[in-house]
Amino acid sequence: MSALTLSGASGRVTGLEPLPHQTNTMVVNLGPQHPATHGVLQIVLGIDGERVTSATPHIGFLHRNHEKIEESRSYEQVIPYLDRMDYVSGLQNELAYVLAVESLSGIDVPDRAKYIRTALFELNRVISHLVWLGTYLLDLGAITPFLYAFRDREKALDIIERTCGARMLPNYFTFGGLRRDIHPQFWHDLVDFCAYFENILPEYEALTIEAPVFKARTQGVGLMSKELAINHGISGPNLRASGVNHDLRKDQPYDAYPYLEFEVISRDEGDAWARSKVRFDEFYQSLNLIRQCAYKAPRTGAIKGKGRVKIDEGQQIYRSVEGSRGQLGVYLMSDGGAGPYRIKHRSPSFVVLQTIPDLFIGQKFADVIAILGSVDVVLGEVDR
Amino acid sequence: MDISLTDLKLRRPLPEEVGGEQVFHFEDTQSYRSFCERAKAAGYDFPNCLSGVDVGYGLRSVLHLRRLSDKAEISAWLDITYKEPHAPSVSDLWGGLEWHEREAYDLVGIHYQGHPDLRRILLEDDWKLHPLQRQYDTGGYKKEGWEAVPWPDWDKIAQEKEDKRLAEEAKKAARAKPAAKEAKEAAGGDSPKPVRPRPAAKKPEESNDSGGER
Amino acid sequence: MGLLGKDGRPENVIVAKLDDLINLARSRSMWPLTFGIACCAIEMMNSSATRYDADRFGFFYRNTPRQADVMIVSGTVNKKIAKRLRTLYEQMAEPKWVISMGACANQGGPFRQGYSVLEGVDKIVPVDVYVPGCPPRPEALLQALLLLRDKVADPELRYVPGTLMEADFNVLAEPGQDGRSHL
Repeated sequence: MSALTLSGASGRVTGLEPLPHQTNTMVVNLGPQHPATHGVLQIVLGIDGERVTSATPHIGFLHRNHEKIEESRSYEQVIPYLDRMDYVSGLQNELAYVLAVESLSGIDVPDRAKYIRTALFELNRVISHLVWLGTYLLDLGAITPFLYAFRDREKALDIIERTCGARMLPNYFTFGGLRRDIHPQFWHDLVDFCAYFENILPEYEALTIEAPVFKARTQGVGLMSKELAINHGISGPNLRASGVNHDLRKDQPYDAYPYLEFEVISRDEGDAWARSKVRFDEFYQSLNLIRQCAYKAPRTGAIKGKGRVKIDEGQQIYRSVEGSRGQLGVYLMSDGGAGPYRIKHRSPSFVVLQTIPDLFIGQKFADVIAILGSVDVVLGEVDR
Repeated sequence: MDISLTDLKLRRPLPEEVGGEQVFHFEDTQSYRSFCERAKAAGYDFPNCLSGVDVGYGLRSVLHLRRLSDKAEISAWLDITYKEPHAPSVSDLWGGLEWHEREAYDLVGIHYQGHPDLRRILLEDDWKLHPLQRQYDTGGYKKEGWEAVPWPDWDKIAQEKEDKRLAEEAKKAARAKPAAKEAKEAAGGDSPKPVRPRPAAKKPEESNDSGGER
Repeated sequence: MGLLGKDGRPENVIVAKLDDLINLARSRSMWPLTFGIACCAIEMMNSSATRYDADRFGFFYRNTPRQADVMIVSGTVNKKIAKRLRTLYEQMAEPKWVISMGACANQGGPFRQGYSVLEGVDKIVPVDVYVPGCPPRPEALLQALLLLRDKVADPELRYVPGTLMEADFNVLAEPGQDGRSHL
């Protein structure tokens, strides 16, 4: 790291001192078909010996014109598309958009629906982090955590399936609450899952995050400074691992979060291990929040508030929620019609991929995968 | 608001609340850039989002900022014409906007001047269209008979808005009075409706900024 | 195939056409390419993970196209990835098979009208099995893999090399209206 020169307010890496023994630079294409890019991401790496000298990410291999298609849909018809954006945690995308429309057209949400939405939101965070844990460890060469993580992910998906009807892309939230009532066993299932999963988490911890090999691969690797993280708009666990105590659930609480008690998890190291640790601690946090929802939620009552979607011409809003990868934002603009005039999705993975050159340059080639997996990107929401 | 705005050319006389947000609306690129520098100096350190929008009479770059210390949020709009879609880049102030600007260039066609690496990001380099412009349909083909609406006269719109507000206030005041007749008089005729540019309107009016051929 | 033991030969000898034996062997150890594109890729991962476990049928994911027999197109194919997908297909050794997984790969799915989306992966590679669903459940993918297994083992259903659609591909790659290529 000493060979790096940092300049500018953003702390961007601008150049590298030449090595004493210069070798020829080799260009390596990482992706778009590569098991560790978690999708169709291409990174062109320049490698000098074992050191990365340049990194250029190329995205757009999954560009599905979400934003253009959504312009020609009605407000209700947009929701299924949002599931498909960040397909690992589809309900979280739905919530950002649904909240935006609700606040523009002044629809109230009943308390019961708020708690259910929050519980599902947190369950989705567990699911998403499980996918991250499994695939990240798979990238680093450990196959067993992948099998463990997907085993427990199935249990969580079963709860979603029983209530929403679909496993992955449920299309369940709607303006004013929920599309259908929950399964009678919903809260029981959730509490059971929490008990089961919390019981098994110490085993996960010993197997993955506290394992000496994992620590050796990730500690001190891929350092992201606090200044760079803020200036680049990094959010979620990646930001909180760089020493910034910023969590939209606390700062701009939505749905049932104002009624729940939790502490924002953050660390100061800013390396790949800290990012992993923050995510891992969020397992406990999410389970705690799900449990609180299960105890506090009203058992009876409406699941959908009254009110129609009616957004006046020229109204616009930027609304964001704290998804599992960070700040999931929706910029919504209306022309008074039946559907949105323009939707822009602010996806945390898109933002974090910009820092790839800053994170990669100067690092060892073998650490590239360890860094890329630690920032946790989903290409569906990068390319939209 | 802690940014001095007196010497800036705001498009609307005062920052107004649209959908609960504080919005600063510019048409002058210099003022916009100057505003962004002051916002950065005033502690708006976290770039929320930057979106390109085709508003029917031109293109708009919408910037959303947040200050982490007190969670304050502002947004700034910059309107530019179809013919000269140039906007100053602010990615030197907030590094996280670099790709957002590339995306707005790619999909909406706003050219950010001073951007370090303005290339297409989602589509391939040899594409020629900017698909999120209103002149293209979902499939990326030109819409038949699409025409840009004329540039709105913001002063007139602000005046009409003010008139409408006054009329409504008068109406309220009249309703408070018991005499029904007086109320009728105070409300007057039809309160003037503010004319907002409907982007999809197909009025064959004269326009300097026809977005058709570019 | 059959057991012959009448004309003096030992009874434990199996006589068959070599092709049939090879096809039988092929069908019992098919190696798909690890090429996840979109949402369906997560279900593809699921199908090889704990609960569904495609490994028990001999489906073992390989990371390089040179070692793979089956390409599972798991997600939306847009015009940017189409050329890479075609390259990957060409890098796979013959004989090779393609499974189109999910509505997007079948015909564009919910994104069909869009400017960047290819309306079905069968425009660029020959598809053997289509799996409906958005996304298909892992069971559906397993059924598709078993169907493909039958197809490989059965000479009547076998894929014939030389039916690639190269000519179509070249036409599609030419730029059309507005300078956008159809591919």
